[in-house]
Amino acid sequence: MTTATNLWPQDIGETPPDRTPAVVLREQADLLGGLTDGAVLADVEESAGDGDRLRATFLLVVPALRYRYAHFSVSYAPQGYPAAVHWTGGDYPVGDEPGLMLVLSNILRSEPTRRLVATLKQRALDAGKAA
Amino acid sequence: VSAVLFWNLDLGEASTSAASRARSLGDVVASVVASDHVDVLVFAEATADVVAGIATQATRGRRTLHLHQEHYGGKLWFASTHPSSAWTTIEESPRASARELRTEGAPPLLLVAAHLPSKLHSSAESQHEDALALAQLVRSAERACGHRRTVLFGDLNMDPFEPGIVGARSLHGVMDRSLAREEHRTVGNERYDYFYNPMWSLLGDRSSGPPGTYFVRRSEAVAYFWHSFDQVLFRPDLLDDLPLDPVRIVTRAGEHALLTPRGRPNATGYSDHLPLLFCTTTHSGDTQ
Repeated sequence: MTTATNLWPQDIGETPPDRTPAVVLREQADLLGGLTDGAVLADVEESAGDGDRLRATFLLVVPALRYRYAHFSVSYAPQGYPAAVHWTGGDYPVGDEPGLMLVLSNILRSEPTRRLVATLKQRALDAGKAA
Repeated sequence: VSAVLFWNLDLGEASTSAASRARSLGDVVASVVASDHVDVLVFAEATADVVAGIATQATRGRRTLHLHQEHYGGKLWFASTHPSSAWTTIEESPRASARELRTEGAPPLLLVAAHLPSKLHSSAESQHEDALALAQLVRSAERACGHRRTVLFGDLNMDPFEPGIVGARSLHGVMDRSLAREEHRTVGNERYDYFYNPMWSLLGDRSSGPPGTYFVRRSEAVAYFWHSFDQVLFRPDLLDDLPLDPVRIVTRAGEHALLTPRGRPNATGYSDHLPLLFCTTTHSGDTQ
């Protein structure tokens, strides 16, 4: 009787699962409140996309105004990738997490995003003064 | 709300005739505001200066118009006879703005205006994505408001029969008012609320107005010529108060004919889109 050759890797089941685009977005969303003194927050809303795809929407939230702005969204396959970022300038396909991080970085550092967050922060502060 | 006017003014950056058309557009709007008791106006492809000018012209017609908070996406402009205090901006995106209007003696109304990307720059798949995003914004705004007295309107750059307008996961607009009254249906274990889309009744040349709101002649094999890219859809919660013909495509305002002698939108004199005039209750102004 022969002993079966073990083809399984030693660390099977220990490889961390791929992070979905929603998880990556949420990580960035959690950072915004600390950068705006809590005046402007970010949130991620997950929903069904086209066909079997999923969608994560990145929202800017101004609690003082009860206002939300759907800034951009990512549609993605159930396993995470390929994904596509939908922003006002167009659609940006990404094949993996580093690709998504690059597009996210471009969006979050862009002039429209900086201007939008600054405007919303000012409006939140104005609302706070008026209250 | 008596009546709402939506118009894509075609004053985008590429427009070379914007300056010469702005005055005429203002005259048309002032005329419609006065004759049809319009109290909410929403424009797409406009500029802040032109909208301010229109408000001034319309005010001379004795209906004072207030300009409202800018849309952060920069695609939509709101003006109304109601003061800004009556409006709350609930949720926006680069292509849409959801605002709740609360007026004395009337139930609140959620007005969601949108200007989705053109077919010139967007594939059918991308347009569907945009429709899904818009549907999500509508649902989110309705949750925030706590009601579904919602009117969705604008230049959707899709026809009423396209998947982005009809699909359950997208806008779920149906042509049949009685079907819409069933409020929702279940697809794949998920509940999806209907919109009633009266634009179906305005398609083709046996309708009471022009066959659509936008005309384009293409050389490709499949060409519709007329399109109803500009649409208004109503949630079932509004249907009890909705007149039989809640929407009209405006083709004439005072001395201004918005169609050429051949019956096409007069793009050189006014806009390549025709305006939509609609109401939300039977107690409102006559849109006929």
